[in-house]
Order: sequence, then C-alpha cells, then structure tokens
Amino acid sequence: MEMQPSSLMSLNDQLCGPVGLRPGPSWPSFDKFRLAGPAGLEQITPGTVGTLQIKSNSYVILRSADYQRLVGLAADVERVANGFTLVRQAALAFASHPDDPDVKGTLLQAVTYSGQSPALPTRDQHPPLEPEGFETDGDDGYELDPLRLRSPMEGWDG
Amino acid sequence: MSSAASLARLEEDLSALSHDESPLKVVQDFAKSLGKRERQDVFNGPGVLVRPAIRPEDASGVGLEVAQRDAFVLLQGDLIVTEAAYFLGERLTGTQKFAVANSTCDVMPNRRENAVLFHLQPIRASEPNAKQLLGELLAFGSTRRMYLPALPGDPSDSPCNALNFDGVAQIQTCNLLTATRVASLGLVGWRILASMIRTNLCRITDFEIELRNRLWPGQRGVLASRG
Repeated sequence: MEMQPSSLMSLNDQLCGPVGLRPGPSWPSFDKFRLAGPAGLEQITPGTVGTLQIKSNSYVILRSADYQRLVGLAADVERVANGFTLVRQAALAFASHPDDPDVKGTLLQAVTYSGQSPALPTRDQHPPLEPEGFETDGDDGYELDPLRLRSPMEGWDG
Repeated sequence: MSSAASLARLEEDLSALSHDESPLKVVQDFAKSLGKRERQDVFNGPGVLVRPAIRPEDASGVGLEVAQRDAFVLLQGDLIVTEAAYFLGERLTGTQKFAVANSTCDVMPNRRENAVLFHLQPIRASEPNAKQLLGELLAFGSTRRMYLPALPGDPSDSPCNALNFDGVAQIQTCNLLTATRVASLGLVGWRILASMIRTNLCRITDFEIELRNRLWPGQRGVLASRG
C-alpha cells in the first residue's frame, strides 16, 4: 500500500479547495488493495480520497458521507447555472440593444436577482419536535438510554 | 345498468377502500396491548420495523429470482442518507436521514424522474420532552409521526427516531439511486409506513363525504331511487 509521505501532508491540507477533499492512500493493484485489508480502507478518513489502480482503470474510494456531500453540491450546480444563464442572456440582449430601456431593465433585474442569492439556501437540521399533547397511557416506564434498548441491527455484522 | 347507476356502484365499492383508516387503528390497538417497555422491545426487534438494507442477493437467498425488469437498487421505505434532497427550496445538508416514500417500482432506474422523501428526526434523551415524545410515538397515535428505532450513525444519546410526515422533501431519482442506504423496513414496518402515508394523504371526515355526495349530480338520482 502506498502512503502519502508525511512531509507532503501539510501541502496536501492546503490543497483541499472548496470541495474539501485531500488525497489519501493509493494502491497500484487489486492484490495490494486486498492484502491491505480493512486496515487499508481505514486509512481513508473523512475528507480523504483513496485511489485504486487496476490495469488501465483508476478508481477512487470515498467515505459515503463525503460522497453524499459531493452529490449534494453537484445537485446545486444546476440551480446556480440557471441563474448565470439568465444574466448572460440579459447581458447579450443589452449588448445588441443598448438603447432599449426594457432590455436594460431586464439586465438590471437579472443581476439583482442573482446578487440577492449569493449562496444557495441550505438547511442542516429541522426545528425540535414538540409533543402533540394527545392522550396516551403516560410517559413513565420508557427507557431513554439507547445502550439499554434492543437494536434492530443486533446480530448483523455487515 | 345505466352509467349513472354503475358510477354510483363504483363509488360505493371505492368508499370502503380508498380512504380506509382502519390499518392505523390496528397498529394503535396492538401497541396498546403491550406494556410500555415491551413496546420498545417489540418494535426495536430485528426485522420488525427496521432491518439491514435488503439487497437483490437477499432475494435470491430466499428463492426469489429477480428478473431484469424487477432489478431494484432500493425499496420503498428504505432509510437513506443524502445531501441532494430539497425542502421548500432549501437543500438539506448534514447527512440527514430520510425514508423513501414512493413505491419500489417507481424508484427503479429509468422510471420516474423525481421521488418523495420523508425526513427522520432523532429524539435525544437530553431533550426536555423526550419521554413525552417517546410515549406519543410508541402509541402510534399521531398521523404526523411514526416511531422508528435508533439507527447506525444516530447521536449516541438517541433512543429512537420520529419519521415526520409533516412536509415532504424532493429528490431527483438519479441522485436517490446513489444515496447511502442505512437500512430497509421490515415487513411490519413497511406495512405501517404504507398505512401512515395513506392516512396522511387520504384521511377524510363525515362532513367531506356528505359534502361531496350532495354536490355530485350523478349521485342525486341514485340517492333518490334508494329512497
């Protein structure tokens, strides 16, 4: 298993960029990947990208949370692109008809609209739930400690 | 039989099926038959409400051949993690969990463009209303929330989740198919989910039945003939 030399790690940390991913371990063959076992995969920590080379094909391995973050960002790209398209089309129309007040107004509106939303809105949690207050047989007798509760995944080792 | 009479028969046949709320009542009665601690044990049992994500090879393992047309990536009720879901214009981030609301056949590749999700909220033991929320969830007395056990990746102090039917999230199916599957629903969980979805979208009152009956021109003649 090839590891990134430790002297390069600080440089790599600066190369995260907006996506926030850093190069992680790489394996030049499936056999080396197989021999590395689960410990090899554990080298792929959150925010790092592992690389597996099998003959002429290269594969990347991410933690699933990082992959879902990328998919979410990619989903937003289309929303951003639509806003840019509107501004671009309005600018082209203005360049062709600089004396038309309606065209100028459209360009200004497009720029204003895009400028009001510099970042696409996101939400990382919902408001806490409040009880609905309907009649039940009382609150006592329930266990709140998850360690004392059965798990639907018990006996499942993946 | 005249078309008016046959339509009346159709309505009568549907009336017992389209908006039936009895499944939820069945669940409530079952929960009530158990002691409180017993409810947690029973509904947390492996495979009851929740089980490890069902894979196509699991179908083969129980003797079911999955035809190409039935090849599934995920199933109705699967509990997933994604950051490509949207709610009222906001993208939902933070590795939140969701349940797939659509029927399994509609979330197979190359079928529908979009899918509907309901979001999960973990209940934390530190919340001031934790016990009351837990009690309400395990009574299955709400049409807005469904009890689900704690899941892998939940906060360490969370005894359970509430599957929230108040508001739906949207996702493009192409992104849903690459979501992280945390778990599938067990048979009982899947049936309760379907009952809850149906109750949420198709719950009615006697007033609405009477209103629609009285406003339906075709029904007036049939009602008159029944006397």
